Amino acid sequence: MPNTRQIVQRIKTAGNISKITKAMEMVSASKMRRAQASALATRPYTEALNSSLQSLAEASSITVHPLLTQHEEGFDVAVIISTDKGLCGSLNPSLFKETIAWLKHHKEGKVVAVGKKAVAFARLAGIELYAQFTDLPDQVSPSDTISISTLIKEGFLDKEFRSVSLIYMDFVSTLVQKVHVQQVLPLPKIETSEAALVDKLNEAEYIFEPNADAILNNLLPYYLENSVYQAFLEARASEHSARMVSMKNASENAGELMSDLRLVYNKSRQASITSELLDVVTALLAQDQKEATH
Amino acid sequence: MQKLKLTVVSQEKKLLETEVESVSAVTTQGEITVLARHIPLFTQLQTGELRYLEGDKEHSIVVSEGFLTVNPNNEVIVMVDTATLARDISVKQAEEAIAAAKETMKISEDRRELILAEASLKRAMLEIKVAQKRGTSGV
Repeated sequence: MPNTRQIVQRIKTAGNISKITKAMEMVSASKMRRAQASALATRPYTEALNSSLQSLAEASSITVHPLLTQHEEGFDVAVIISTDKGLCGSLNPSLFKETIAWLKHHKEGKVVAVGKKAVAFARLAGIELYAQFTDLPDQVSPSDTISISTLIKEGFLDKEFRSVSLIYMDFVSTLVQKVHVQQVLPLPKIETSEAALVDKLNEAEYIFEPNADAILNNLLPYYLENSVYQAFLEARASEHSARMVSMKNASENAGELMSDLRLVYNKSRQASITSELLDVVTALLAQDQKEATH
Repeated sequence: MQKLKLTVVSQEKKLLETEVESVSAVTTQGEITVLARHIPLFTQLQTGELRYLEGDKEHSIVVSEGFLTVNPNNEVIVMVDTATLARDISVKQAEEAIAAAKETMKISEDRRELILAEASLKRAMLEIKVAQKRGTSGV
């Protein structure tokens, strides 16, 4: 039976841990709400961008834009959007598993690591890093992700990269996040939806100033940047919800551990009382016997 | 008089949504003013002032480069870029990221070499020990 004092110490430790995990859970919960809100706030821009592209797609010779065309030169690149900090459950391991699977399909592939965890993973697994981005702010803004979109855009236009994919955690709900591999370059063909076509038939043609091709040239980079930014927002929302859930589990486990330990502590306390009583009683009995024999 | 529905959006959020009489903006081709029942238009904005008439009051906001769309249903959508400044330094940041990755690769290369060197050293030590043992037992 362990020492009573040791058990008391362990109860205290478990209590302290649960205090910390509780606080971290709370912090993540508020960060998660903010991340989710900012993911929703970008919707108007994305919608405006998509509808503009649809109008443009019909008016211009869209297939010739270099960001849309496939070429055979160069190697494939995957951007892993991981976290800087740990303690977020199975989030990073699932990302890394997907990365290994991706590398199996793309033998010549190189990796752009975002977040310290991805950098550490690449070092451990001996994966060739092309670039690394760490210490991005918690609340990402488009300005923070532009350097990444510039990197992949330039690399693709210089025909250094054949294709670029993003690997990140897609936010489904607080409890569910899914690994998502999204190819961003070459940009997927812009499909004109039927609603847009009906619009076109009913309404007059758009005027493009200076002309449709020039506007498209300028708009497509924004489209790429927006996809990267969106992926980041998803990844951030996933990170915070994963951390919140794992911290919640940790607090619960600490509580369970504490109640188990308390049981052990009470048992050992009772045992010590019983043995003390036994001592007294046996001593008394022994004395009685002594007096009786005399 | 018909009104225009003006929406200004940035990458991060919707900045403005209001009913206006007219919108004036500086495009790459020069300044334009859009009134209700304007022909559908798609144009590029320069950094400058965006003025709009709301009732009798004229408001003005400063917008960075972006795009202006006039839709057939009297809708004006302005997409502005909040990250213009960051774009200028993004190439440098991208280069820094590549350099950082090279540094990481070098460090892990060094570490790998160190581990390999350590392993071969250990093996050598072991071989010496074995040789010594054999030597003593042989004598």
